[in-house]
Amino acid sequence: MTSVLDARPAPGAHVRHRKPVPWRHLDVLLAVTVVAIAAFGVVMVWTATRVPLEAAGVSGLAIAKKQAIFSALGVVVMVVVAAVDYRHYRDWAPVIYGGTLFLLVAVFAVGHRVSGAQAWFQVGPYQFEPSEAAKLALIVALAAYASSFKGRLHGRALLAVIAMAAVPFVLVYKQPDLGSALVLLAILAAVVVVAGARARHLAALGLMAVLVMVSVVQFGLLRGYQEARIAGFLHTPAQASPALLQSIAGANIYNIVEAKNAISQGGLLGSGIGRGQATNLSQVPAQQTDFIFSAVGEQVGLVGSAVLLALYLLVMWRTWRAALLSRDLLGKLLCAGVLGYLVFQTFENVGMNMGIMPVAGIPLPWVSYGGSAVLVEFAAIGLVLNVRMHRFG
Amino acid sequence: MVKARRGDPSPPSAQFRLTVLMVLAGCLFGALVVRLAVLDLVHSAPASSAGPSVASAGLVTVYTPAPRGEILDRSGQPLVANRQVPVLEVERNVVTPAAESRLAVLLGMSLAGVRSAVANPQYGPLVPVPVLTDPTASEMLYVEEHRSQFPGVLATTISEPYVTPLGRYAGDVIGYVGQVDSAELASLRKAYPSAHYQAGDVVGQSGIEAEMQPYLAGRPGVTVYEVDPQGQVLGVASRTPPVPGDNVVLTLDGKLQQVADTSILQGQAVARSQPAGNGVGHYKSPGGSAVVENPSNGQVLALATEPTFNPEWFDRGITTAEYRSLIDNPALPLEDRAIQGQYAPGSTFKVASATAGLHYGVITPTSLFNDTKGYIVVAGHVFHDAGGIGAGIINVSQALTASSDNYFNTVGLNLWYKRAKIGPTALQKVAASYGFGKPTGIDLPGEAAGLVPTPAQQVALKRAEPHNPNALGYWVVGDSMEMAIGQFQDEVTPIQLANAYSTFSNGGTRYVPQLVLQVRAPDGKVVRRFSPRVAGHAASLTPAERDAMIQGYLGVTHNPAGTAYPVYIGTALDTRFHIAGKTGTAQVANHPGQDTSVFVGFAPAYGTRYVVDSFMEESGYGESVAAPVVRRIFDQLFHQKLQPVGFQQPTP
Repeated sequence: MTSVLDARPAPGAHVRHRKPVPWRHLDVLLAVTVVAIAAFGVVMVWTATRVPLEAAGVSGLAIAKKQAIFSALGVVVMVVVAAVDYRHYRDWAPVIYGGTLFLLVAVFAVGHRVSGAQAWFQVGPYQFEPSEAAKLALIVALAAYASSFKGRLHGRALLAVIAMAAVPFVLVYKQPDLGSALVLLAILAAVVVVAGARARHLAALGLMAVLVMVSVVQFGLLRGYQEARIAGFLHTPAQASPALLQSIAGANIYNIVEAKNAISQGGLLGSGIGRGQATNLSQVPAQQTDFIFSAVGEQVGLVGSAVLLALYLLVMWRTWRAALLSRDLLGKLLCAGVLGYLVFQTFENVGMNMGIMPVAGIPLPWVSYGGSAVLVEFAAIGLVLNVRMHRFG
Repeated sequence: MVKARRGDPSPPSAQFRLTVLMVLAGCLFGALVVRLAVLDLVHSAPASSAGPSVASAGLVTVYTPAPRGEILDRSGQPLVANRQVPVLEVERNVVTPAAESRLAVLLGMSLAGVRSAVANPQYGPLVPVPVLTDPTASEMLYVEEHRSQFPGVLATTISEPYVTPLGRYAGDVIGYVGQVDSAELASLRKAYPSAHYQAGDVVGQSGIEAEMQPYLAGRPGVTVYEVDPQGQVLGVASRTPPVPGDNVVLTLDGKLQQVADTSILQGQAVARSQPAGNGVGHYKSPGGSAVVENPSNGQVLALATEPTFNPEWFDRGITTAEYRSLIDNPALPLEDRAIQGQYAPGSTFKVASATAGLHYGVITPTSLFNDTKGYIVVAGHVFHDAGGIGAGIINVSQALTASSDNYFNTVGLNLWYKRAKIGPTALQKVAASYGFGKPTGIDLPGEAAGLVPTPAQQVALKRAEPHNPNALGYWVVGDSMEMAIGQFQDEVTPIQLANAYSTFSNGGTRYVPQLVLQVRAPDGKVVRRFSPRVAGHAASLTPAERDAMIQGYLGVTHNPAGTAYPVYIGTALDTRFHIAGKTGTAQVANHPGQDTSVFVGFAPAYGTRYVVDSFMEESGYGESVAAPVVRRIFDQLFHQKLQPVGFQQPTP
């Protein structure tokens, strides 16, 4: 509650000194960069979908238009999230965390009844994916809780934080949505590092993570297609059933092969927007969602892709700056969580498009087609803007 | 620092740890850029590069069919065009059971139905299998929007040829396509080793589709995947995109073809409304054909036949019922009558008889013949004129105009009598010089040869059919006489007759009828141009002799004694375009009273631009149906108002 009191001017105080004007400290560069990436994303979604849409007798803009609407909504969400002083979120953190868990359980239950693996709610013509919202909720919840340990995340405190992340992780993993579950782990890792976990604990956790990965692959804890994706990536044919090998051949390497092909066809400068052969022939499966980067690579080439990556790096840098400038640990942890979230998603998505990471269903922030993801990504930047804006009070 | 004022100060190490995170992020992005550069600049032909490389055990080649070329008329109007058809395809090695069941729900199909469509053995292991062609826009949009829920389901388009409304009138010329059978596959592979023909490929089976197959087919895309021993794809060894087929431009004029076809249909309709020649029932008119040729270069402007078929039935896969309806139809809709129908030419054959008579000197342009009795008696046989009455004292022009059988019987008689000097096959030689008796060489498969009877054939016929009362085993004078009026064993095809009159009207140069004008790449660039080819020359005539014949043909349409006078007199075709022509009425064995109605016209008579003929089966006199059919086609050629085809009662 201290923050609320701080925001209120003391009686008789001079307004200019006592009441900060947060919007003055808006990180315009960050906001503009994100909007630019999103606008570019709308164009890429258009190029990746227009040919089959037009062939189906629908406007080639149909899907790109939806993406544009979601991006515009995202900007609104970003502004709203930035406007309320982030210190209020600490008070709401239990509600946000609990509500998200409820949604994750609910979609799990409802999804099972409908068709096996649904991870979203149908809201009119739209789908809402709680696993996307869970990313943001976990950032807020972890930051709120971990900041209370004042930078010494030792022993039980560390375990408590891990347990807090483990619950949504398991629920999301069970949907099954391995990609989003891994994003939750990345958020956890970033928060734990900055919140003051001991170096030896971090090393132990890292080692454990590797062991878990290996045993999961070895003992078949993954679902068939997950195993196929990872096994295909690692080329481990041992003990795999013929059916698994069949799905390896497709589920993952086929996508990677086609995506890599499209990217390398781009060369230095790319084919030009709308002129990508592989993109226009829909050679890359799921190109407007997980494999949108292959459309980028083919059409704008090495130079254009590098510029896009530079824009992402700019976003990371501004997020890092906001964390450094933050006046309290809560702000730093919020930014750290967002940093872990965005770095992991971008690296994993671009990496799998280029065949250096296994395939997991993770969208490229602000570019991949998908309403829930775009809204949550904008909201995350809203958090960062918030921390920076309110750094003076 | 602000931390001093707050209750939750940052640990001193927080800034350092944040920086470590940022440096890590920078390293990851650096790795991405390096990887990007490697892909874009080093891997022009991408190889296996995901994870540690495993020695590849083999290569799997996947062929992507190329869009077939289009068939266009001479002005570029499509007769067969490609359209993009939306299709939902399933990649068998990617699709999940959940995606299959979602697809079944979306499309309102049973899961078993989807599974059996996916299991279609016609498609290879790495080739996407079409599950639904032409889904609705909302189905396509749904799959596109929810691609992550439909792994292995592709909402895409395929290029599908279709016969345009204009092309429907040229069904037999276009022909049809079908899946290659093993014998065809072997011969295609041998002839075009680099074209990658595969089992299941669709190739032309008849018409231009078959004739121009190598151009229309294009070349399939070839992707070679590296696979490990388990069949796991490791990478792409090579990829060649499909090369679309070239477009074939025909000499046909699509609109003219339409008029020719509808004129035949009108001719059939009016013939069927008329009582047959022997008064028993009506004319049956089961089929007919029409040909338009440019005599100055042999280009075929129209080649119509009825009944015909819709090539799309074959293109999309014909049903058994449809196939039976074609095969069981006694009117033989699969026969291209214009090049495969063989008919007694009747009086139209007199172009060869007159030329032979003049060429060998048994008649001259001015010699007269007394045809007042209406019959002649030779060796005890009475040869009646088809008209039954004499034409008076006539020269060759008047004989052609009135179609005097007595006159040309006598020409045949005299050619035979003169055989010691000019050989026993003088008439046959002249007929052959007009192209009768062997295929013209038009660029279509399955052309019939026709027949010019010879003494040698009579011997052969007797040997083959010893009990045939008509097979004497030797040539008699009557054979020469009957042959000269086109009634013996003579058989011609409509394209042969049009080509013979083209040869006559251009002064004696016989071209190979040409149907393909050029081959164009999809971008419109001309790949190959076909120029006129000369097949031979007609027996020579002096200008006076030729002029006498032309006057005779002009009289057919212009002189009250002419057989087609009522059809043409007073029309612009007569007064402005100087149409000349010849009727033919050929009796058909086993079809009493159901003569083949034949007309061949050329206009203008001097400096001819077009030759048009029509053969109407079991439809009466030449002037009754075929001449009005030809007139309507000339109306189109000379931009006249199209007159409906009417039945012309023969003049006595």
